[in-house]
Amino acid sequence: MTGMQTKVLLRNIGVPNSHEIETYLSRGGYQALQKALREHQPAEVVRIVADSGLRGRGGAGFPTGRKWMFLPKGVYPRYLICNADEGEPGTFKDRVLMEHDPHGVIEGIAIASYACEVHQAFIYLRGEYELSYHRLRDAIVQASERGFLGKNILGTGYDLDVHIVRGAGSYVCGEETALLSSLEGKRGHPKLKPPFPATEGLYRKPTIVNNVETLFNVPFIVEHGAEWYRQWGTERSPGLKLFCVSGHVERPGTYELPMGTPMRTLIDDLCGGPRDGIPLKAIIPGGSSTPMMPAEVALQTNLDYESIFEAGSLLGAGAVIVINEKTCIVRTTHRLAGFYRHESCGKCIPCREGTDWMYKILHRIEHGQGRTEDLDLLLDICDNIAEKSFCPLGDAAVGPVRSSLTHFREEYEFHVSEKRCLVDG
Amino acid sequence: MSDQTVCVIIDGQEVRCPAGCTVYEAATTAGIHIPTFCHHPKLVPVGACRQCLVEVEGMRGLQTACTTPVRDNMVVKVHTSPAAVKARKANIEFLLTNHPLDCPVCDKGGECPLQNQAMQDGPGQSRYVEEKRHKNKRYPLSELIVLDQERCVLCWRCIRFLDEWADDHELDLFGRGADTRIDTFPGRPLRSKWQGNTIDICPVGALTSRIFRFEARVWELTNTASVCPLCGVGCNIVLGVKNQKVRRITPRENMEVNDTWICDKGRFAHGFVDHPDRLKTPLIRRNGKLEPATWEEALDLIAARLNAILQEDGPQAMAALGSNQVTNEANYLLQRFMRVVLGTNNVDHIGRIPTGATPLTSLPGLEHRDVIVLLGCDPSTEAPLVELWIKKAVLRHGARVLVANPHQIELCRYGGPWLGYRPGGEVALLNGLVRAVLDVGAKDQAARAANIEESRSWLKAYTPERVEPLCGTPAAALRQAAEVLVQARRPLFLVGPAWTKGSGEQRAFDALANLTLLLNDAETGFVAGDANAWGALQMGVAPHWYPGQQPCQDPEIRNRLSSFWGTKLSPVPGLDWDGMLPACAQGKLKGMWIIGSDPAHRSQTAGEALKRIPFLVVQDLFMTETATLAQVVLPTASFAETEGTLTNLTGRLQMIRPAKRPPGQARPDWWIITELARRMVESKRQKSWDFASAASVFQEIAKVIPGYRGLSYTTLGEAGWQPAPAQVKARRHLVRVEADPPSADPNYPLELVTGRLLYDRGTLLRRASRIQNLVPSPYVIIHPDTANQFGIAHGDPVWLISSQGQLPFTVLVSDEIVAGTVFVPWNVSDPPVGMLVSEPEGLTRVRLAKQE
Repeated sequence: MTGMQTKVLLRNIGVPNSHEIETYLSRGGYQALQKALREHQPAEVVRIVADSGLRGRGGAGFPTGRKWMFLPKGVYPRYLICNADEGEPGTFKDRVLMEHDPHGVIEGIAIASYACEVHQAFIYLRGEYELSYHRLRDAIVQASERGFLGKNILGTGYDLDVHIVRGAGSYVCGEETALLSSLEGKRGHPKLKPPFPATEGLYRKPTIVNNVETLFNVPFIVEHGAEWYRQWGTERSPGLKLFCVSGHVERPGTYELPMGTPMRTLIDDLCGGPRDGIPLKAIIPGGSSTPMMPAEVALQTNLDYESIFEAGSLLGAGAVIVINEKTCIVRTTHRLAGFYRHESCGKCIPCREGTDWMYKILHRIEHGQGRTEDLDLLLDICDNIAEKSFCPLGDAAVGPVRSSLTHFREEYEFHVSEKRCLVDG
Repeated sequence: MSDQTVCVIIDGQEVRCPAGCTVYEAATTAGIHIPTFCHHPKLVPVGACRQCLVEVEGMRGLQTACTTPVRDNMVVKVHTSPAAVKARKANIEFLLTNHPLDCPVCDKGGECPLQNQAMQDGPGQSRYVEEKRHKNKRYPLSELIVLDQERCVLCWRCIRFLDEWADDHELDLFGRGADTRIDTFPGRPLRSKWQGNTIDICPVGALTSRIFRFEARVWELTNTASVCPLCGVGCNIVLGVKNQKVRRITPRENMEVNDTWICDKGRFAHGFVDHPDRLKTPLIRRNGKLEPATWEEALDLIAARLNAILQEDGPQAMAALGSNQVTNEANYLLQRFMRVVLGTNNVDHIGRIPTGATPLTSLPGLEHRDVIVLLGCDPSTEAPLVELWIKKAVLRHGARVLVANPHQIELCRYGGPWLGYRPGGEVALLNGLVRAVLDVGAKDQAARAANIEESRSWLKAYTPERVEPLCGTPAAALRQAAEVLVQARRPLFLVGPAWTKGSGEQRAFDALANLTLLLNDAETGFVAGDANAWGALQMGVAPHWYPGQQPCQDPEIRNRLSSFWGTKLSPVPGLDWDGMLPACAQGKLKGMWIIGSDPAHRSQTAGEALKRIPFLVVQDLFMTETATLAQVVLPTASFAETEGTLTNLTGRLQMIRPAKRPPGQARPDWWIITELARRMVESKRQKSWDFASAASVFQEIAKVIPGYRGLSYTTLGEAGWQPAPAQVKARRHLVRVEADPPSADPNYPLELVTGRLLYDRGTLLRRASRIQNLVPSPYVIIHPDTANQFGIAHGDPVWLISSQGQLPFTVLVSDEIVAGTVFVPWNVSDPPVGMLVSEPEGLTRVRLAKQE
């Protein structure tokens, strides 16, 4: 990594034994928690976070403080869930935090729980994240021993227990209502909204679901204040963001940047530019569910919610997938469609049947059995899934198919007419 | 839902609907059809299938009509929104991509929502060229239902019905995405008694009946609205007949009876109707053998023999048994025949509702009872729909279910407490509850009894600890039950036939009334297990009651009916069934007519007694054990072949209607009785037996029974008629009822408890093919203490021995029965367990011996 990136969130990454509480404490850890508990009423913490403009880092970008304010007054118990089911292909930022700075995650959970008047918090952890599990589990034990969790935290009378629940490998369980179903021991099906989890969530009680990175930001904001946080980013997308870059760059990895940084800075300066100097073809800016962009378009945008949306895609979870000219777009899309076909929960018809159908068509095209009419058929299927499905998984599945057909149709046409791949030569 | 109404505009049409209802409901009230798959009006909406997408002005994207609540002035576009129309069309296309389209061989064809919607909204042409997915076809989920996973559209209505109504979590979704399928859990076939309802609500042909499968195309069926005759609930049904054979039974909605559901017995057990064993001609005993005869021969013979007995031995030498399974019309005419033509009150029926019992006032009302107490009553096997209403009370409103029964029944699953007792201990148990309620509830409860102070002295003897040895009910359970009762806002006591057997009718009801008068707004209802138990009683098939339960001993009533029927009614008290038995044995009864009843099957005493009757006429569907003893056997029409009324356990009169012709020469009961009467009365009085139809019999019934005035088949209609609940005079005084536990008999130290199973080997069910595979082998349940006492282990073959005889059973050792009793299901063993029972029915004592 180079010195060009900001190191606030990732300040502990790379420090020896960064996951141990001693290391964390020696670097100023749990100061924010003490400040929150001793100096602020819960509502004040909510206000600070709202003022900071922090937006959910799981992909949807919903303002965190506003979400907390949705909690109905006087209804208890309330629950907080740290969504650590990081399952979007292309994302691995939460994993870095949980493995190397687990106390930062715990501190974020503790402050958010205090702000939301929660006494039971859950970490819903992606099942495959073995090391994260051990690091978080140990961190909870250490934090409890030091009085940062459990009964009467730091002598303030505030109680909080944090439980880890490991997912069973289903992508849709990262969707907050499906996560709730799974957490309740049920099939991982999304639930109807409304009621939204903040009103009626886990066990039908008010529940806040926040992404790992979102919660990880909270101690910094509480410690240094909303204005300090707003020194980075744009007016509507303030603060710092982790970006996971994968694919055809020299140095893929997790990078921290202020919101609004040019994409080119990330790709060329931090990641060392295209791998082996091979020109780029496409960039998926926010994880597999966000629309694919032609590289030249993507490289002109800035990394914030508004800029990327205006350029035709979404910032999502900040998972930047870089694709060079040697890569077949049809094959890439086929793989992504296969993922969504596999991960569709089966609850609603458009997603269940549509993802299966799209995959079958792409499979034929990829294997030299495409028909000209398949391309428009695919677009129509996309149209019939998008915004018709029960939860956002359907829209996610449509993302790569529709965008690749829009921007790289000639590759599909070549596949159909020549029965082989354009890039394989 | 509030009382307020709002106005919404759907496709340009103004619709007024209750605030809080959904867009789907609003559209439906306005007659605007919105297609659905997952939505069902009786299930909680889930919004899963997306078939009901509509456009709502001001809301982003499309909305599911089934889950979107209306707002005032909402503008909804169903058929006028191009986006919504396209979405629904696309959804049908999605469904059809992998649907097998095997409509020509699918039972659902012709009444299939997918078919209909494919026609209405579908694209009409397929763009799908891929290979269809393959899943399990012809996949049995149970003895009764087969699943085709390829046809399934995964609406999970079936799962949700079993979860939300039956509380039987036996079906679920397995796999994910395109590989999702409905299945049972491994090695656990569907066992729910409500599973058949999933066939009805399945919007495709995924779930089909193994009994109806390939029997007919649905449009070939002639459908007749009728009522199920298999228990006291009287579920409203439709008989589907093709070529003079009942092919299927489906439910018919009646919110006062069965909502939209029926149990699997009612649905699947119709095989008896068209069974080859049905009696098809009258039979006359010639040279010791029953031989076919014409109606002329049979009726002439009966008339001649009855006239002869009248001449020689007088009217009191004859008796008749009606039935709580045949129509009101048959029962009415039978007692009319006995009283008017023969001049005797010797008429009764077996299983008569005990004196003091009152009908349940409402089935849907069960839902709003917060505590339901089951006294010797097992709705799950005796009146299944009652169970479904109770489950609704439990699942939706958190009702408590207290169970007083010698053995644990299915409804104990809601935590009871279970008050196990030994038969004969009913009064002790109730006195114990009265005492415990007074102890727990203190002033509030005591204040309800006017004579509380003087009652305390006799109640002293009934502390829970003292009651425990008297009836076997643990003191802790009694206290726990009392806590629940004291808190109850609207408790309901459901009494079953078993409750009054051990302690006697009067004592059992008096003791119960003591308890109910101490509680808030308590009500008692009798759960009659047979289809026309109230009807048989109402029609006067009882020695001491004329129709309408008008006492025979009242001269004024006797005179009035004498003039109505044009005869002088006999003031001589009649024999009841318990009295008929010794009269038979002593040779006092010379002639007897039994309709729709098989006493010889129920007890050995009865069989022996009936053998001594010189002239026995049996009228039934099958050659029952009693029929084999008869001189004349008359074939009668089944419920599917005759018109008439049945009175259910809420006193509701409901019509059965002929759906097909009876087999052979079989005739409706009313016709047979009328024809016989016409042969026996002088020609000038024949006019009084001028019944041309069941309807004309009912017209007379409506004149005779005071509460039925003005009723006719027309007024009964499709939904039936229920009398206003009788005003029960609230008692203010505790009545002293002392427990009288049965004395011990060292030779037979155990008490025999019998009970119904839902599926057994009774006369009708024995002829229902697949149902028979669900009947267990004969077993006896014994308590672990009893097992130790007799040195018997679980699974041992044993003899169950009473003073009447012995029968072989396999032992099940379980602590779900009270010590000192054994449980044997009725109608499962052959010979029947009745062989061990002595009449009059009360307590039967038994012992066990290991089979060598």
